Parts: sequence; structure tokens; C-alpha cells
Amino acid sequence: MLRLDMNFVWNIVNLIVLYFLLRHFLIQPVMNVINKRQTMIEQSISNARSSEGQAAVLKKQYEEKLAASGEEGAKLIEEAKIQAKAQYDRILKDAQEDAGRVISEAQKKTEADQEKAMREAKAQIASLVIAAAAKVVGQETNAKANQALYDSFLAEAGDSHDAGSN
Amino acid sequence: MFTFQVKKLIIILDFRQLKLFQMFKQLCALIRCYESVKKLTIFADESMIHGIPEQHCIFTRTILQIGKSLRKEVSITEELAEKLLEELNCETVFTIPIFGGIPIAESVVVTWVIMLALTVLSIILVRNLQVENPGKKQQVLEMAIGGLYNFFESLIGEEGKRYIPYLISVAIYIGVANLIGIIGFKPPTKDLNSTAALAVMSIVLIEYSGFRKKGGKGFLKAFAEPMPLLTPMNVMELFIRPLSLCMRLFGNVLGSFVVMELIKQVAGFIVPIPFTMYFDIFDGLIQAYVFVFLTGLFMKEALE
Repeated sequence: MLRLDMNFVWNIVNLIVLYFLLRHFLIQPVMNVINKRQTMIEQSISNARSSEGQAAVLKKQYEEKLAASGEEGAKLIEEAKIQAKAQYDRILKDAQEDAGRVISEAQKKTEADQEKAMREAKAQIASLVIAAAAKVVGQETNAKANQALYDSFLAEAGDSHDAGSN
Repeated sequence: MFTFQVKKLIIILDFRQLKLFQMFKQLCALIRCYESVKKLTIFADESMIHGIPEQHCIFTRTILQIGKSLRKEVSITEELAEKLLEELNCETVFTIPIFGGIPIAESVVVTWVIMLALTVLSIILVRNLQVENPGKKQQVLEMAIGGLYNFFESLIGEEGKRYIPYLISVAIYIGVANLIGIIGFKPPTKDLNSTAALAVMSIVLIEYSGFRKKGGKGFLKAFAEPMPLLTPMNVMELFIRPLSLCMRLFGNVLGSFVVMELIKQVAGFIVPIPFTMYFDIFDGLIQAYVFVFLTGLFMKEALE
């Protein structure tokens, strides 16, 4: 019961052997797994932190960009409005000018047509008068001389007519 | 085969080896020898009682007469006490026949069994450990080992990290050794050799950790702390600590073992269960805890 002998030494040997066995087969593998998991968790936490930071930075950037683009958009719209206004004005002016020109051209043409018609009428009347005079005179000698004669006549007649109407 | 105390003599007789007459002679000589002995207990083995009844009767009467004439209280105790004593004895299981025979005690053999069982169990449990998605088995294992690890880490701190595996091993070993009584083995911690080995290992580790931390000079200086006057105390502690560790464990296990054996002898059915709960399981685990806790505490002290 109360004895100390060689078995003391065997027990120490047993203990040391048991220590190595348990350390190698039980404690180290389990602690390895626990530590690995620990580092993995820490890593993923730090990863999450860093990506959170990145996300915050990105968010800020986007917000800045968004604000900037809003301003830009407003500016663009403003510019576009101004341009549109200018273009509108220009087009309107052009149209007015064109319209004026067309009208004036039309007027001019009308006038020219009138003049031409008058002139043709005059010439026809002259030829009619000549024909009438030829019939009246009954002879057709020197047509040219007659023409000149009748022209002057007509002019005189016209004058007299004009004077008469006066 | 006998043990003796000052006032009490216990004699165990083996009737298979001695002739009755020789025994008488020896016994009488023995009783006369120890004058101071007032109480005499004789453990008789079964062959005496069942084998030769007449001789037994004569024997008993003679013994009692001798006791009376010598004014000594003589009693003959049979099976119960004998069995108890047999259980208490740490038998030598076998002897290695070299160097004149090296005895191997039961505690050493049971420790081998524990070592084997623990190693095999470890190998089985540690298979397929995964970092991600651990199974239930692994979770329990991790909780146990990690819990022990954290417990010791909080006890002896960062500096003592390298000693933690040893403390865990010892905790597991003492725990299992104390509990192994449940399945019928004699707990190795009931043998003084075993607890002495544990205690000596502990004190060696404690002093080694101090030595390693402080170096030779600092280690020696630590004996004169907190003041030189206490140096003898500190030196004595070198012996007191392992002795107290050793004896506490031994005494507790032996005590609970004796109590359990008695209870089992008196009532062998169902009654021992609650007592087993307390004496074997609770006390065993508490002692394992106390042992490693104190070792860790002393180590922490040595590391400071």
C-alpha cells in the first residue's frame, strides 16, 4: 500500500511517454485546427474590414461623381437651351428673310411681267395701228419708213392723247 | 506476510503454505514478541474456514486462549477485511527477469492500459478534423481540448504556453485514472508510486520553468524572495509541494476506494451507484482538477 520502489521510475517513464503520445496524437492536431480556424476568422474579419473601407471610399467617389454629373447635366441642359434658343432665333430670322425676299422677288416679277405685258401690248397696238394705217393709206411702200412714221405718229398721238386727257 | 502498528497487530495467515503446528509456534512467538500490542486481528483465508473445520475450531480456540493469557484482545476476521486488504494492496503483476528481477506493479500495468486506450481514442477522434464545418464529434473534442487549453492559458499565461500540453496530458491522465475504478480496474493513483511520480514530475517542471525563465542566477535569487529571511521556507517548499500534491491525490483516491469497497461489500446492488457518483466520479475529477490547477499555479509563481 505505502511503498516506493522501481515502479516510481516506471510511472515517470509512463507519464513522459503518455505526454508525448497525447501531445502528438491529440493536443497538437486539435489545437492546429482551432488555431487555423482562428486565423481564418481573423483574416476574413480583416478582409471584411478592408473591403468595407474600400466600399466606403468607392461610395464617396460615386457620390462625388454623381453630384458632379448633376451639375454637369444642369450645365449641359442650360447650354443646350441657349443653343436651341439661338438656333430658333436664327431659323426664324432666316425664314423671315427668305419670306421677305420671296415676296419682294414676287413683287419684282409681277412688276416686270406687268411692264412686259404693257410693252407687248404697246407693240401689238403699234402693229395694229400700222395695220390700220396701212389699210387707211392703202399702200404699203417702204415698210420701214412707214414704221418710223407710224411710231412717231403714235407717239404724237399718244402725246396728244395724253395732253388731251390732261 | 504481515503489517504492524504500535498498538495493533494484524496477521494474515496463509494456510496453504504453513502447517498448522508450525503456524502455532510462529504465531505465539509473534504475539509474545510485540509486548505493546493490545489488539490482535487475524485475517484467515477461506481454506481455513471451509477446508478443515475441526482444525479451524481448535485453532481458533487456541488463539483466543493465548490472547486471553497474554491479556490481549484477539479477533479473527474473515473474508470482508481480507478482501479489502487484498484490494488495498498494490500487487506486483509480474517481474521482469533481468537485473535480479524488476517488479512491475499493477498501477504501471493499468497506466499502460490507459495510455493505450487514450492513444487509440485520440487517433480515432482526431481523424478527419476539418477547419470548416466541423462535425458534432469534432465540436465536442475541440470544446474539451480547447477548454482545457484556455483554462491553463488563463492560469499560467502566455509565458507558460509550452507547458500547457503537459498539463492537459496530466489532467486527462489523472481524470481517467481516477475514473477507471468504475470499470473494475484498480486506479493507478491509488498507488503511491504513481502519485509520487506525478508530483515529482510536477515539481521538476515547476522548477525547470522557473530556471528557464530566470536563468541560474535569477532562479537561485528567487529563493530569497520576498525577503532573505524566508529562504528556508522557499527551500522547504521544494519538498513540501510535491509531497502535498502526491499525498493529497493518493489519500483521496485511496480513501474513496476504501469507502467504495466497503459499500460494495455491504450492499452490492444499486446502493453503490450514488456513492460511486460522489467518491469515484466527483472526487476523482475534483482531484484531477486540483492537481493540475496547483501545478499550474506553482508554475505561474515560478514564472513570475
